[in-house]
Amino acid sequence: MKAITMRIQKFSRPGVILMATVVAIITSMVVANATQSITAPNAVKITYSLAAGASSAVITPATNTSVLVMGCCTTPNTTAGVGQVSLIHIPSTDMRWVGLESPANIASTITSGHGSTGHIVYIDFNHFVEIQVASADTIRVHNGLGVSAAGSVTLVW
Amino acid sequence: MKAIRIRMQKFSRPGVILLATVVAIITSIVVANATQTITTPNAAFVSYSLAAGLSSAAITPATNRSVLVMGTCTTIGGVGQVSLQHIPGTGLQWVGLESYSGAAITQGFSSTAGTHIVSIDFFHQVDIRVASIDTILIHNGSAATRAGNVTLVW
Repeated sequence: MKAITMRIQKFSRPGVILMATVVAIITSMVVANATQSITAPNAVKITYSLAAGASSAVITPATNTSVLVMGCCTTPNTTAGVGQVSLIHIPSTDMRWVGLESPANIASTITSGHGSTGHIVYIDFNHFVEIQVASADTIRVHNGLGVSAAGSVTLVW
Repeated sequence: MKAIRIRMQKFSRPGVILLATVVAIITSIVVANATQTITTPNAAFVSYSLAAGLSSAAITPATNRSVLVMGTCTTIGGVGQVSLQHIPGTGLQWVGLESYSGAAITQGFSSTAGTHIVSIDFFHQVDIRVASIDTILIHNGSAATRAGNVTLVW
């Protein structure tokens, strides 16, 4: 203890101030990073089984935050596929999104846009099953195939 | 029991070795599949409100795994996302999609502060950038205050 006290006394005044500044900076960095909260993410999984031409019930994504929306079509096997977007739901205004259409034949393509109606992303191989904007505040799954289609849509935020 | 013993004695030595090999292969396949663990993912939610030209505090993504980083600007709209890997002491690499409008693939590897990762607002003025070799930040390059949030999932 005596040795430590003697060692501290050997530091010059500017040295002590410098050391205090470094401690203050490190402390503030830790406090600033602490605004980041780590939690278990929220997720909703919606399964669908839709007759030809039918649409699912509407889905309301969380508002004012980015939501990962990924969907797949599992049957019929001939058109199984998967697609995903990041989406923001601005309440009473519209949906805005960017993502990737289900791959069809060769490569996937980018899908992006905004609106209160229309196509968001295809989730089947042949681009008949899609997630659509249902209203300014909701989305839905639509089956444009000539036969019934089933699969699921997962939202993570 | 006696019947089983008699039946086993009827197997030739190569037959027994073959049987043991098949059992070993099946066991190893089962063990290999058992390495897959299903867990609850983690998420970090960072909200921001930045005056013109300002940057957020640094955010340290989880290391040595793929992290989904998606961000949005609630002031003027827009959303973008990347899959990102943080290699501690080396840098960050990513691939993803710039915000609408003007959506396009964004990809790169960098440890240099200020390097653009992904835009998260409609006008591509608010972006997520490399802050240091181990951190990222949100930068508001517009002439007005912008608010929103960034979610990391891993």
